[in-house]
Amino acid sequence: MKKLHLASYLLSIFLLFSCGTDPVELPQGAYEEGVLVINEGAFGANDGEIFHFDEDSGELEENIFEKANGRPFAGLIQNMHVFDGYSYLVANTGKVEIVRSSDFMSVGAIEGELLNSRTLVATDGKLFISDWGAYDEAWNNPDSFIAVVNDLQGGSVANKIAISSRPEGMTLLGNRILVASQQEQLISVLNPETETVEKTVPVSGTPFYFFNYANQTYLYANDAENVYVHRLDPVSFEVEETTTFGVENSIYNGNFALTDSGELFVISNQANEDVVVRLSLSTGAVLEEHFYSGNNFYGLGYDAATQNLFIGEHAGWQGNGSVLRVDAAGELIDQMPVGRGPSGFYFP
Amino acid sequence: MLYYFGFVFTLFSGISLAASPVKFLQDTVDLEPVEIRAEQLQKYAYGQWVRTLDKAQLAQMSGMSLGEALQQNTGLFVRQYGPGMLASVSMRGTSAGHNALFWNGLPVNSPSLGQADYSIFSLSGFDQVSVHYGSSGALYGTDAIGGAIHLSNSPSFEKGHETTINTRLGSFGRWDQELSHRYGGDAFSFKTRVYRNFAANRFPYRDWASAGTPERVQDHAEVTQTGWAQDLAVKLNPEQSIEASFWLNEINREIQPLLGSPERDQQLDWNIRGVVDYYRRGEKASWNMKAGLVRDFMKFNQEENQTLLALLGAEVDWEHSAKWQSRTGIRLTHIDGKLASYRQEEQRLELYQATNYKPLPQLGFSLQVRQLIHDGERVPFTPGLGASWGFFENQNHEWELTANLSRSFKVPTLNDRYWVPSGNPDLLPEQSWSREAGLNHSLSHSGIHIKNRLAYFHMAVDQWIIWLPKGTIWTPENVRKVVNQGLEYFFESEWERGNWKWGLDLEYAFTRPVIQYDEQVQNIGKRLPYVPEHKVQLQLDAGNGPLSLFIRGQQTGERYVTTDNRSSLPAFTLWGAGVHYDFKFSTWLMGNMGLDAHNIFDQAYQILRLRPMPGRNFQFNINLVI
Repeated sequence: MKKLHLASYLLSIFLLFSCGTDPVELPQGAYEEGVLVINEGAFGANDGEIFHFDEDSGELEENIFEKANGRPFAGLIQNMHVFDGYSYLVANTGKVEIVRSSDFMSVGAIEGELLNSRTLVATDGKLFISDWGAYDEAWNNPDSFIAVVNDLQGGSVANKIAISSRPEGMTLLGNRILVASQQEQLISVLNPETETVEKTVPVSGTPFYFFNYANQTYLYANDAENVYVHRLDPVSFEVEETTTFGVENSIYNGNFALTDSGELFVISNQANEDVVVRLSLSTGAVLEEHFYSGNNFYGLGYDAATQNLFIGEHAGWQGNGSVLRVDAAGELIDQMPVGRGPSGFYFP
Repeated sequence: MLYYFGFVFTLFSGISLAASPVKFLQDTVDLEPVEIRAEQLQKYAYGQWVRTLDKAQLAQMSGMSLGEALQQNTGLFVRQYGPGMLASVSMRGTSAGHNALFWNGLPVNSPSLGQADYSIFSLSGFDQVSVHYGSSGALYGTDAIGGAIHLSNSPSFEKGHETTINTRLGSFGRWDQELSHRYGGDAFSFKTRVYRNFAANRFPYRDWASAGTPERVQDHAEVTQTGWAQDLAVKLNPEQSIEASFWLNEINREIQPLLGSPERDQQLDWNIRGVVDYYRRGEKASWNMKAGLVRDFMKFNQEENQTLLALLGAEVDWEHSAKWQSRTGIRLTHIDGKLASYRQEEQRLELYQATNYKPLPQLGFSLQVRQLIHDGERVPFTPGLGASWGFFENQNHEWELTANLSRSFKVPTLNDRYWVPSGNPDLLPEQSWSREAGLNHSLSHSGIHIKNRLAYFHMAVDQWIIWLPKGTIWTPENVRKVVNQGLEYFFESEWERGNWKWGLDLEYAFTRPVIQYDEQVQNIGKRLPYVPEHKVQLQLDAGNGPLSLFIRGQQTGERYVTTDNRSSLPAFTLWGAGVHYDFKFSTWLMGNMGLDAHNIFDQAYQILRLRPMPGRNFQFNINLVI
């Protein structure tokens, strides 16, 4: 899933909890176990939704947002972030809806001033949301911004920080926020306190998402010929090292999955099929060019507990998609119907 | 070619009987004599059903777009994206592009999109709507897979001068005005209509996309439409005439956003349509030569698209004998598309022939054939065969059996073939085979007139074009086969009690389009989305002298939202009612006024998911005739 960099981010949050002084053990909510499937939704239909899959029982629960709240999500879910007991559903249709992670009841939202929101980070009681801004006549986004909200449970946008066009992934590194901007292929370094951009760092390829592995922060990027993984300096935020993988036509939405042993799964759109390619972060080698192949692959997720790969399949956008579970040997375990355009997975 | 129906039609208080093929239509009642001039749609359509909404019925729907009128008054399902927004018709379970739309014989489906937006056709621009149910490609050419809809104008010879001024005020910021003048002399007639329709569409709705589902007022669905429609007709002598129509239409729309989306799109449409017909009517042979032009300009935000369609046609209708009739024609069409990403021209040549054979007065057969060649490529030869048999008739009852077998096609649109970067020039035409059988019954007894029609249809559409993602681009392919089956039932009745005249109409459509083949295996066996299995429409009319009333209801059944049939929208029922009063202040000033209520029970409904429609609303209109 495109947000696996979050997994490590969330891990740190869990660690914080585990090291805390609060002796009370809260019961796990229904959606704090199993697998959450993020169904992006189809353009023009706004039918993004979250499904829940229980790997033990094999039960799949549909539309958990609508079930919990009695109304459809009504947006295209670009990303989901989990922070401090809340899940933030970021829609590129101009809203962020905040739900309790345990039961998915909505507790707040950010609406009205967002246009094409992409991702979100939370720090110091503030939310920072990357937003492409409006399209111009040539379908460019010259007025991209980072929206600042001074309440972790939503509300109005307090500030809009102008940013390089098409900001996508964000992460916290040290006491700065890094923003990957696609159009100019650079990282913007943002000071969350002053809400200003302090510097920019050029990178190779179109940058998508940050992730952490072995106490290092990486940035995933691609172009038509290669996948790039940039390791970042935690102080200067410059690129320390770039690993280039010769993977052609890696999927345009920048989705990938990271394993706990430092392997990356990437979708490559080839002439007659879509192929999942397995890469090694440590050796910089393409381990398997055809780990698994099929059609209409759209999202990826890796379950560290079972070492299964989850592949989201969009069924040509003619209807709802499905999820394929593939084991570590690349064998299909099963395939289950899910929602429209399964683009990502979250493993609580 | 056109011909005149010289029958006298009974109308009362704006209620008229529908027209249809053969006997089912040939109803004559006698109130205000109105000369109905209809296109010769049903002449070579034995075995099929053509329903006509005439001028009086359209007057009852004044203020609606063509899409709204069809939604509320027929069993057709109209996919509306909001009031005044994009509207497309689904006939017999087909998609938006599988229905041909004609204005005075000119095809007005967009050559680039392959379909029409029924919201941009104001009822002010034509006198009559005829709906031809079922496959009719051999009669009309491309697109007529599910059926065809014809908009037509009628000259008004020998009617003198008449000026009408119409104003309509309605809920949510509606204000329409129309001014028309007509003159009908012995040899010359004209009609000029100018109109301006404005709808702010500031209707309240529940915002299901927002936390707390607040009630909001729609603030981005304003529609402003202006137009000028001009008809001219000259009788050169009793056999020859020239008729011309011209229609200029502009509609500027704020596009109602999907719930949950912040878009503020704007769309401007400009349409210029012109047609000239020459008629020569003889005892044995009647000729028609037609020249027409349709220019559509559409600006969506900053993106501009324009198309031009020029048509030349000629046909001759032979009355060989009482038993044999035939029509032979040729049509040449030039299309020039200047779209946002490409420019492309196309030529089409069509040859067609239709023959009627009536071995007995109660038995008739139609055989139609058509061959279309576009850019040198032949589409499959298109035949159609129909039959009608009046098997029982006495003083009160008439029974008739009908049957039809026909092939139809749809030429891939310009966008399908040439869109840059992903058009597919190798696409094949979509093709269909259709068969249907019907039973017609009419009853006239003790002042009660009843007509029924029940029809079953089966249609297989192959090479169905679907746009599919290929990496980062989408490209169209012939990937789907769909079989549509269904039933259609029509009921019309009228009767008198004392000074009151009553009428009750009912239309029911049962439609089940099932995907037989698809690239996505999980779609096979599933029903097409956004096609209700059931749609019912009924209307009760009552008239007493200058006063007339109506109650109208329709129920649209559950619609699947996606092709895997895993989610659906609930059925909804809408009721409307109206009261109209005709007044006459003097011989030179008369008119009528009316108050209509729509969605009386304030039903919250969505025709398409997340696109709210208006609740209860009212319209008041005054029509002055000078």
